[in-house]
Amino acid sequence: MIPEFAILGHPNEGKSSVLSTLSEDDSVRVSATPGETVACRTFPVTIDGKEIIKFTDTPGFQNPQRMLSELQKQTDVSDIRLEEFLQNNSALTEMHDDCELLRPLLRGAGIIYVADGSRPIRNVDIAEMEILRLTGKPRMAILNCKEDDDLYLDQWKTEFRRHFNSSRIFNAHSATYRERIRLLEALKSIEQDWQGPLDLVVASFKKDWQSRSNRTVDIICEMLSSCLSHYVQSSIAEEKATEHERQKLFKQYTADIRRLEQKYHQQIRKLFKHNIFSYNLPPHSILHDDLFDQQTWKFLGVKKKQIILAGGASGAAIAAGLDIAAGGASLGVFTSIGGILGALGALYGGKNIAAKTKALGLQTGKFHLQVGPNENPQFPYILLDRALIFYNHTINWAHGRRDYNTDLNTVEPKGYTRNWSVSSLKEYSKYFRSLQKEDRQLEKFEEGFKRGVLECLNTISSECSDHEKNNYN
Amino acid sequence: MKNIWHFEDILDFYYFVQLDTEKGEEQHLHQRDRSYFLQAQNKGYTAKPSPQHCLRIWLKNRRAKELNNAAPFLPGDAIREAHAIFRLILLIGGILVGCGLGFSYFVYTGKTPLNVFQFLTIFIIPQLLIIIILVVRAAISPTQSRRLSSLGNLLHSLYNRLFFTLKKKTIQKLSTEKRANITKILTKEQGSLSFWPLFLASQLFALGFNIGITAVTLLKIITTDLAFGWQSTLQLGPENLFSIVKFIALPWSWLLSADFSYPSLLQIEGSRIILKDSIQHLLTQDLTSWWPFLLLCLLFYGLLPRLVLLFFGVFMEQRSFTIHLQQNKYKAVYKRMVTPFFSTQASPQKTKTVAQPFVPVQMQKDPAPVGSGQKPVLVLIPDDIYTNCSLPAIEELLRPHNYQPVERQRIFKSYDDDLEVLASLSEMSRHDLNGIVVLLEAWMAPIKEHIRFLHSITESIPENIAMSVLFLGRPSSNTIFTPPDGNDIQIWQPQVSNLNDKVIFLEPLFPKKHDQQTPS
Repeated sequence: MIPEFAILGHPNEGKSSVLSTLSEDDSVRVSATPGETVACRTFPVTIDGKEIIKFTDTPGFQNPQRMLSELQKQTDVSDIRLEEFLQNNSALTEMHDDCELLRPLLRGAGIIYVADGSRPIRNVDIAEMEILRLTGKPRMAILNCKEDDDLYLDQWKTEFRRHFNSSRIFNAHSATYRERIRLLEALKSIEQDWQGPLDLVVASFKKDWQSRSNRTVDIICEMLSSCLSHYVQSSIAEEKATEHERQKLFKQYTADIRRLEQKYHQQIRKLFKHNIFSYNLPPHSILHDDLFDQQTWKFLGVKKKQIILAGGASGAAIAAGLDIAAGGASLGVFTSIGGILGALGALYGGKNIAAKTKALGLQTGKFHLQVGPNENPQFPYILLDRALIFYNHTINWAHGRRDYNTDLNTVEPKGYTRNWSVSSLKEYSKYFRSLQKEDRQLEKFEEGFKRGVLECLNTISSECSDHEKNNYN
Repeated sequence: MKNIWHFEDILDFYYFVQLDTEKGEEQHLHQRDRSYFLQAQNKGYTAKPSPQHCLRIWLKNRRAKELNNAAPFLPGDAIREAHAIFRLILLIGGILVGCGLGFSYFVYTGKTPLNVFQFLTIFIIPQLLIIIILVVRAAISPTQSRRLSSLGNLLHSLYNRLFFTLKKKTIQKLSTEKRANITKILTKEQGSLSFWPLFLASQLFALGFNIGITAVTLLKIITTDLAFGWQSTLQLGPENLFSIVKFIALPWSWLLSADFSYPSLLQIEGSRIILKDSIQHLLTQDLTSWWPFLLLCLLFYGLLPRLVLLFFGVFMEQRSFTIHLQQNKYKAVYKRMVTPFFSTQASPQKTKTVAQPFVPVQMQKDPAPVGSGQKPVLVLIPDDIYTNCSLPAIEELLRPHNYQPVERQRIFKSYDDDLEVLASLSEMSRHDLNGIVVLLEAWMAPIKEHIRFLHSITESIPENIAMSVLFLGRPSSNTIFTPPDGNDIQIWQPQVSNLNDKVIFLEPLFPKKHDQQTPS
């Protein structure tokens, strides 16, 4: 039989949120209005379509004291008694939810009881816990603190010890990957027979996470490749472009880069299964600043000294590129190209023909203005830092979280790349240069870069959330 | 399944990868690609297929799916078709150019023999030079030599135009997304692997050109009376020319007889044209002795090298047609296939789980017809907070609401106890009781058990007795008497309103404006 875990609890305690976060499924309806869930919904955990375990979301208890009263009148609360209870009450409208939540237990499901640890315990809670104890099913309790109040935690823990095999704190709004793994690991303790399937699920979850991290690295590489080799051109009448022409083309270039960056960020978001809801970044996030904003270039990326040590900039680039100002005037991406280069290049879609034709000395009398590829040595690090920060927010945005406007007071790192060693930066600079030139040696440098980024992603995903830290302090 | 990639396979592969990239549904793609792999395994393919083999399996499935979706054509097939037409055009074009050039060269009026040097200069030397440049370039810089030249780009551009002209009507049937992808493949992706196909196309043109010239040369030799001679302003003696001719004939002289391979010294001497002497004294035998040599030159320096290059091109094209797994987007396909698909998500929600519509309700401002004095009431207090609610404390709390608590009673201790409370209430008469006040904690989610209890109270007491529900907020560390959150009351309001009991009035124990007066 496939192990099943029913998520039970009082209405509005966050059962659906817990399940949404645990299963990384943002399609779960989560609402501030109690009683939204009126029917069970099963979340199978499958590997290649084969069901290994399953979680079932249930409606909240609506008549806990009445249920307890009826069940206590029975000498033995076995499955047969539960069945009798269902038979007697399923026709009653007011008992619909209570009957519905008992059904998975009749199928042999284990219990995950969810309670809001930030509120005091009430008689109804004790009644619910007592009902679950009487069922005799393997059970575990989860404290999902909806508010930042730990006044009642000890009360809950004490009560849990009396009624459950084990208990954990699991905040559905801030649980990280590590916490989800820990919760799955903890489920093993409630029933020995389920250890095998749970081991398999934990191993597969870890493997799947690693595979997603690898794919994130690939997406970051694709983003860097697209952004660093991107350029725009336009015809100009005279050899020297006017300020308006330069600004117009630069605007087009920056818009293209923003669009590209956004596209790859969205790919990362989807990779981590944030499909339905588009969450807001924390209000204080630096990602709210534009990619070409002064703030972004001031706080993200590597330090000047690091770039120089890494050999990623020529003297001219240092002079032109490092003192970045908003508006892009000094980004060093303008290149004025005269003659036939742009015209024939655009016509035949390749650079070589243009270069060749120019070498043959043909002139059409036309001039072209080109913006990009951006050779500023800081540019890839800015993109990289923004992608890593975005990754950090994405993986730490729990799927059960719906309060988009609330800041969880998470501390946003001020970039990652400036903590990297000079020797690493040296290697990465070679990779960036080969991307800019669409060099054939790209593959040689790419492997090292990928390793470095993957290491960084693994560090980010293994970092504790603030809640997690508090729990273990 | 043979692991050989053709041009159309690669293009279809690029096309499908591009389509997937645009959609970006990683989970869906993983599930789909993994199912291709598992299906192949079930059909008995090797347990651990090579990456290239996996990608072939993937392509086969993607093509089948595309055709099942009534796709008008597969891009690879259409591009291959256009390629075949393009190559045919170039081959025929080469033949026509060769024939045209041959016919215009072999105009012999009988006045002057055709100059052998001119023949070599026009038909042989340029071709040889081109081949030498090609080989030297490839030897010096193999990578650079495989990039499209200006001519290559021109050919590529012409080919693209041909494709869009041929497939105009069919392409118009495609979605905008697919049209964009085909254009991208033709302009970008195909460009990167177009070298060898275009190399082959140019060899076909050259081959056609040599076939044309050779055919015209043969035709003219058979059907007309051609005379070949040589002349030079330089004092190039027949001996020197003989040495050169002998050297040129090296590729075939070992195979054929010397008489046929090249003209003899005497024949060379006999075919020398000296303008002042006219050609009357020259022997026809000597003048016609050149044609086998010239024909063999065309074969060995024109036709054969092109054939060799053609076969070399076919071989290299085949070698170049592979999917480079170093490219992330292609490697991703392979990874998706070999990585088990792990899913924790539920199937789409079938049951409607919408409960009550959330309608903000105005709070009852004038709860009870209380008159001017304090109204004596029975206060029902949940067991959870009963010990905190002594009579004096309740008295002080209810005074602002014009209530005078005369008695308090414990509720929600247990289901059976609540039944007893209801029974006792039903025994009360108008004289015993003027009103009932129920204290509730607004932050606790309303459950049917409690709502039903409130309803039962109204059923148990006489109709003219008013009942109010007064809400408390979440307890603080100092007191349980805190103002309730407006949102919490709004959650309760529709639940209670649903009971349709007009005697129930809802009000917060402490309106927000009296926060400061909260007793400690």
